[in-house]
Amino acid sequence: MRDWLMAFARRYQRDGILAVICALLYTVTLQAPPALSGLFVNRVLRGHDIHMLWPIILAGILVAAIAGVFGFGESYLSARMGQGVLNQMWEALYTHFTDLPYSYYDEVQTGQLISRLISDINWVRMFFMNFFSMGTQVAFTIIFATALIFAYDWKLGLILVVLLPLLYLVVHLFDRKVRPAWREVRAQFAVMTTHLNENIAGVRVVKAFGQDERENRRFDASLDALFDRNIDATRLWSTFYPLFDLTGGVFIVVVFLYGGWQTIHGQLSIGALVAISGYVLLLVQPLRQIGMIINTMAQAVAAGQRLYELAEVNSDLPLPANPVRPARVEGTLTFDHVSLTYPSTGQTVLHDIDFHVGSGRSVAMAGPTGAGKTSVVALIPRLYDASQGRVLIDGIDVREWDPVYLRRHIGLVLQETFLFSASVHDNIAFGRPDATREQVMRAAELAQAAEFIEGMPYGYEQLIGERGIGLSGGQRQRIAIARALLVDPAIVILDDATASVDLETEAAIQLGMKNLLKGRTAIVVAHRLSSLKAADEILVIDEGHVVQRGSHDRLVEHAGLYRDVYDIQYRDQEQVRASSAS
Amino acid sequence: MINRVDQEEEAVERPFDARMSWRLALYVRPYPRLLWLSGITVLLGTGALLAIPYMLDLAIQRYVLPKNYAGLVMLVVVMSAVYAVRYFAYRTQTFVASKLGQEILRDLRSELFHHIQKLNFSFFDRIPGGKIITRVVGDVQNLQQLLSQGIVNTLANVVLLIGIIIAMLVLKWDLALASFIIIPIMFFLSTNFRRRMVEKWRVVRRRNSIVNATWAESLNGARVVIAYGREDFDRRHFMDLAWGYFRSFMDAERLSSMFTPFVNFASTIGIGIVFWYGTVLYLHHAVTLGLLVAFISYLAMFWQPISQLGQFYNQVLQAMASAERVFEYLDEEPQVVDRADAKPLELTGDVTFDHVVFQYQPNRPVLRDISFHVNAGETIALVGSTGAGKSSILSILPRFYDVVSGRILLDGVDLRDITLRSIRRQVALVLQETFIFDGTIRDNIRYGRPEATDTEVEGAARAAQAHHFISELQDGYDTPVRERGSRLSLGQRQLLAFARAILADPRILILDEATASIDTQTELLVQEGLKRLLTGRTAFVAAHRLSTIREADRILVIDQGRLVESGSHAELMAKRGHYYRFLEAQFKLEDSGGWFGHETLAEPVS
Ligand SMILES: Nc1ncnc2c1ncn2[C@@H]1O[C@H](COP(=O)(O)OP(=O)(O)O)[C@@H](O)[C@H]1O
Ligand SMILES: Nc1ncnc2c1ncn2[C@@H]1O[C@H](COP(=O)(O)OP(=O)(O)O)[C@@H](O)[C@H]1O
Ligand SMILES: [Mg+2]
Ligand SMILES: [Mg+2]
Repeated sequence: MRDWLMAFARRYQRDGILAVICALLYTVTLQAPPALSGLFVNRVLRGHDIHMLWPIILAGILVAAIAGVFGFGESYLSARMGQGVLNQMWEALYTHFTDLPYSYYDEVQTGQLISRLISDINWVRMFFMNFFSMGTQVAFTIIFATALIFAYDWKLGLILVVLLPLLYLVVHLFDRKVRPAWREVRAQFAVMTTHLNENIAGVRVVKAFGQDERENRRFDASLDALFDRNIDATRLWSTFYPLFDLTGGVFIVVVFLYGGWQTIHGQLSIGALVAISGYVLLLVQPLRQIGMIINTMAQAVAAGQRLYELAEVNSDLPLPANPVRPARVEGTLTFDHVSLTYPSTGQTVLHDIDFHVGSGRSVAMAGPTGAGKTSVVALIPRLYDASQGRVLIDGIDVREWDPVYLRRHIGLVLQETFLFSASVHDNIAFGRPDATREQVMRAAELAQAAEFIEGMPYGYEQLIGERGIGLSGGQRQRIAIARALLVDPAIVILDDATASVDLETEAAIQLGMKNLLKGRTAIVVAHRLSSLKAADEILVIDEGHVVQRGSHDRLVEHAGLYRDVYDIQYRDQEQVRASSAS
Repeated sequence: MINRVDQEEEAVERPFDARMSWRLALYVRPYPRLLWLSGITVLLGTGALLAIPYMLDLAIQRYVLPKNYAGLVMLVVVMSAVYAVRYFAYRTQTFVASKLGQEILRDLRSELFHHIQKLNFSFFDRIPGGKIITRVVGDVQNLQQLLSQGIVNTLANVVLLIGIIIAMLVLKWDLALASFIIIPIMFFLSTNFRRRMVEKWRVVRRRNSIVNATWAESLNGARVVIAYGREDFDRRHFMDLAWGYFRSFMDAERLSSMFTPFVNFASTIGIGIVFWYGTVLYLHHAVTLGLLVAFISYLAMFWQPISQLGQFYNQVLQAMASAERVFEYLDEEPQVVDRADAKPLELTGDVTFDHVVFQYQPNRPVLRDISFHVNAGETIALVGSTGAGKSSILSILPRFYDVVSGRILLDGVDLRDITLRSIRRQVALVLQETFIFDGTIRDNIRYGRPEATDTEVEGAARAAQAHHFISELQDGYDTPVRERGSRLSLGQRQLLAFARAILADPRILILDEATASIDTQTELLVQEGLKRLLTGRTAFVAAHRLSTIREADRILVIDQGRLVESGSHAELMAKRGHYYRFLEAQFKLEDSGGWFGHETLAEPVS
């Protein structure tokens, strides 16, 4: 994990090094004031050397100015490094997330991801922002101050140095204990975020069933748990922090016991004693900061581990060594004895599916709920991999294709419409962000969406809410159809694309798309048989098997699932016809 | 794709105001004990800290110079005691402070969450979920630093500062005044500086929030991104936002990084003044050497809290930008709320719409003057083209939104005079868009009535035709279905939502295209199951399929927000009006040959 984290820092190495140098020089300049104070006491006050007064004051101001420059450099540069690391991690993880297989998102809790990417990552940033410069400052302040104390009186210095291992022990103990505590905090934080994310996504159902009280209780419970975890961690560090502070006190006591003795016996000047106690006081702050650094580091490590876990999630859709990107995609599609078992459930939902569609031809699928129609369709853009058999497009196994290239040539209307909170234009142009307004409008017209879009206050610039809130179900589906059309696909997949559209609009959409579908391979799933009866081949799917296949005319002639459904739907129609005749 | 988030982030610009800080500070109120405790420990700890330079003075003047080692040892013993006090005080202070912060954080998050639950649908129509999450998670988190250590540290620093000032004034008031001279000058000089920092940190927060909300939405919509192969474009867009955030951050950081050096520089000048004036006094024998040493130590200590207060001010600025955003949601008034005199009501299921006008946005009425009456136990079908207003009628019935004019009466009582809770308990919906929670199938079915027994759950699932597929799953009713039910087919999710509504045992059942993704045969079975359950209950069904519509006692035909026809199937067919034309579309569909048309009908592939 450390290598992974450090790789991000590498690009900001220069900032990091400069920040450390600044911190170093800043620390050096900080050593000057006590020396100047000592000088002031010895020379000006005791030595009555008035001429030294102004040089000392001016030197002090000069040192402060220099310290200011270095202090600024340190804080600015380390902020830039931290922020830069953050951005790079974001970019890497963003890429990673879009490379992950579709199935990953079936199983993952989105709130977990969100909390890692917007909260955990912040701790890592803080670490990079604070650790190097603060660490340098602390380390060098301790070293310098100790060294200078040595210079004044080496025996006193030695006594202090002997105390340092004790400090190290405290540090070590603290670090070991506080890490797991922070890990727990981070984990519970993610649980809280997950509750929140789901509650917000499902808020309409929550309200519809009047369950807000229960949701409140559930959320409060996760807040309470988070509180407890935080208090556990706090208890630890509030025990340790003051220890570092106390160490400073021990130093002072030692200085006065020993240094006072020395001075009384004339072996140490009074000025030196003043300076030494000044340095020891100088040590107190960095000692206190050691606790803080370790605490931040422990949190960063806990957070970094959680991010690393994400980066470690492997794509179980292996990418081909030489991804195929044919110049022209014809759109022939073959299912070669395909079976599919969803790894998450171990359930085999498709058995030995075998069919072929020529370029520009069409195949339709019908069958009961949960039969496996959507699963068949999902194999085409390689959203999942077949467990047995092969899916071929233009005779090439989809596993050989560059997946992104493949998907760009497929116009997919998913059964479940997901729109983004963006303008209508951007939603339609989703698959081809560079599309012009004319192209977008054309696609909308074909999908019978133009009319209602133009009726909205801002037309194509109208913002539609998350998941397309603000539109009726049918309007949403039409935007999704327009979105699929705009990519100018070789293969069009319509998975129950008009389920929420009324009959009249459906007929209009179909009419509008007829020309468009010509010359493209089409795979259509529908429950209304009249929508698919003209397909070149109809597959009737039940429990993952193709139980019947053939043209509409052939299928209605034979007893079977298709005929049963046809009878029900036909009966309805006949009734309308009958009443309209009467 | 994130435009929405970008644009809406242009939140109201409010100047930094003391009222908001005060409002934030009020969250401390429930914890007087913690506050007292931290106050006392701060006083103790700071007092101990303040005693040290004084003891240094004593040590030098009284013991070291007169060469009294025994006295020095005594003093050191006292000093150790002081340090021990300091240790325990500091320890308690750190813990109490952090605990206080955590308490407030929890209260704030909880309040925010509870408040959001109370907000009505129009809030959620308007604000993308990612943004809400960002505020509850990110912005509240941003307050943590301030609330946990900030308050108490400020307290400690202020106490320390006052203590030092008093000590210095007592030691030598004229020297003290001379060293304070720089403070007002410094304050004056930094005014402009600070104002610019406020602005810059606010921009940072806003940009950060955009990035975070974009993350949330990208992850929630990740599947569509993958299915469309749009990774590159999205990444570029995201990184543009991320670098925009980066730039604004560095912009603010540049100013902030100058602040501390500025304070330090000013402090050095202050010390210089003391050196000079102190020397003058010393030469005139107005001060002793020990006093000057103590004074210099105090001065060194004096600037530390000031510099820390400066840093703290920085923190406050960042936190205020967040607090602003949190309070913005808390100030959002829930519009659909119980009237003061609202009462719970046992419904029979009698529904009246009385000249109802409704709109989502001002001046764009979606329902115009809808009136109808439904007797308890009737099944009503709503028919009309997409966008006609069916779902809108069905969402104002359980009062997800309030009507603009007119009234909706349940059992003759205005909807607004009945408590929301009792309405929602007795009205169940299967929405066009189903939502399945992360949890087991059983949890999901039981959602509306958590106390239902397993037998009842199974009964509901059977009626909804869901039992069959559930029993085929490895763990049956205990199968986890993951977020949004992603392990189920869409039709199965709808069946589950059906079962959930059935189990809630409502007086009024609303089915808004609830069978859209379900196949014809299953739909028939569901209807059979429902028919038995619906006896005595009122039902509203919005659907496009004739098989569903025909069964209704009465059909309401909606067109462009108006009720244009109503009656039974037979009546309306006979009338040959809207309804008739609506159904005629079936033939259009039939004649056009569906997606592929006649021309491709030619030779079927084997
Ligand atoms: N992502 C998934 N993980 C596990 N099981 C799934 C997943 N998606 C669908 N299934 C299961 O596969 C079967 C077929 O589903 P699907 O192909 O969506 O059916 P439909 O014919 O209704 O489109 C169902 O039993 C469903 O529960
Ligand atoms: N939350 C909303 N905010 C704004 N406008 C909406 C919202 N929901 C629906 N609309 C608009 O109201 C009209 C009626 O929609 P709806 O009632 O969903 O129609 P139906 O259910 O009959 O298809 C449509 O024009 C739609 O765009
Ligand atoms: Mg499906
Ligand atoms: Mg609707």
